[in-house]
Amino acid sequence: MTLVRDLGWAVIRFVADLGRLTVFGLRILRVALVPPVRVGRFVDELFKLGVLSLLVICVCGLAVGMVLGLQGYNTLVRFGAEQSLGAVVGLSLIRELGPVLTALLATGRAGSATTAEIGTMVATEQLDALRMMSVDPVDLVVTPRAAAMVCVMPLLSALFIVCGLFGGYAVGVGLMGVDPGAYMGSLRSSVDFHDDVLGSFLKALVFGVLVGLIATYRGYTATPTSAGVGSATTATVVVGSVSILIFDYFITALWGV
Amino acid sequence: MDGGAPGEAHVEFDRVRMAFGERVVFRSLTCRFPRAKISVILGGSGSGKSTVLRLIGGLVAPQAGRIVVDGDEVTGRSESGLYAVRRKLGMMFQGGALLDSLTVFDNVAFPLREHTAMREPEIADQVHATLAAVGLKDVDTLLPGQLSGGMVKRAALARAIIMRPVILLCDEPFSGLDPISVKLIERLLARVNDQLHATMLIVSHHIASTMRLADWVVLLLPDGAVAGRPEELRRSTDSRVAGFFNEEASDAAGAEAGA
Repeated sequence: MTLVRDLGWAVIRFVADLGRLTVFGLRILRVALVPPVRVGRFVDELFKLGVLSLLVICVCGLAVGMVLGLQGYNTLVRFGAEQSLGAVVGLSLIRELGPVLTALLATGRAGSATTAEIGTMVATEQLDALRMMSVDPVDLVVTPRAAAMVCVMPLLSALFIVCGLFGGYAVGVGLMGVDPGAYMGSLRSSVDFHDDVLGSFLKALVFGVLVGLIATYRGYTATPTSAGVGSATTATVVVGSVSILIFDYFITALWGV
Repeated sequence: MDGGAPGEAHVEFDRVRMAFGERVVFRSLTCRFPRAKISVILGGSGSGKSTVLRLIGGLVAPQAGRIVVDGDEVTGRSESGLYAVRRKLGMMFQGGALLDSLTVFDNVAFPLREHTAMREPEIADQVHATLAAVGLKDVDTLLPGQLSGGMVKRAALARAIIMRPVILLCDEPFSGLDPISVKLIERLLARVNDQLHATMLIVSHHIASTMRLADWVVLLLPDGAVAGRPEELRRSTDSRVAGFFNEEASDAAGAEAGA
């Protein structure tokens, strides 16, 4: 009986939280569409979330591409199909690994930092101070961060894919001796701009919305203590990562991307 | 000592009930704060002193009762409706609540940039004048994290008064300060009151400062509030009031002896 009751409460809490998250998202959307647009703040956040993530995205993209090149070659060579390595690396990165791994990395680096920053502002009464100065914290603090996350995610994903393709090429062609023309040829012939590249962009965009929304919401609703900010940051990483993987499945299943 | 303030009431609580979850802070709080005077709100820990200020600013909403601030009823207003009332208020938070990503100059200039059409040279003049008024110099480029506790309080006071509020709310302005800084903040608050003629509500448990500074004192007790002029309260025969003042006085004496 206790188990059923606990489960019931968990479901009610989940639905209520989902409702609050939706309202919060609509509030961000309304603020984003109504002037004044805080361009300076938005550019600052683009720098913090995007530019400061470049190194980690490049390194991880390169490493994933190299692993794909190596594993792909070792598998394909058994069937005498090593000339298709470009297609395997390209499609894996563009359709799946690029947007998903970029989103997971962005959640861990930029998403958690966003939650911690906003949560700390809650704990030190900075958001209350803004309210007392008749400034909406959602307008000043939340919206620029969420919007920057949405804009940055497809760009970081594209960079991850380019680095991955380079890593796959370096291992496949440079190390394993695959013909460079065959590698590039199979890549070009198998990747469709509309289905694959635009689909990848769409996925990254959806993940950007998810991470931006979850990270800002968790920070904004953090309990105003150091433990509260810590648990909000953890929740961003866990909920964000799980949401990305679940949404990835549904986007792939529904839109075939 | 029934909560009636001398002269016209500028802020008024009428049978306000406030609870956080199960914990009831006020069952039915009725009190008034006089216009252009310095009122100090006293009370034990957890008595709801800071909550009074947060209720006035609309940062939290009561479960019942009315709160009237400068003629506007705060209770029941939407967030955008509250912004109109908050334009009349300045608030100095206990920890300063300065925006930690902005320099001291930008923190103090922030309300002017948000709510006025002033140009940067005019803003700079006003910010420097306000910083000088609170005794801060050469701090423009410093971040809040680089300031001492007393400097944070003064910067927070500068930000709170730069829009010339009609009501200034100060949450524990003396907490965590050495005796010299306490006296400095005291003088600053008295000077701000003289110059702006603002109604000031100060939350404190610092009895000595209260006696020197306050025109009116509201003592929060578990079953309501007792209000009066400082000397009236000190001479009160009400055991709850006398008990509070004697307890705090002996604590202060103990602290000074220990120091």
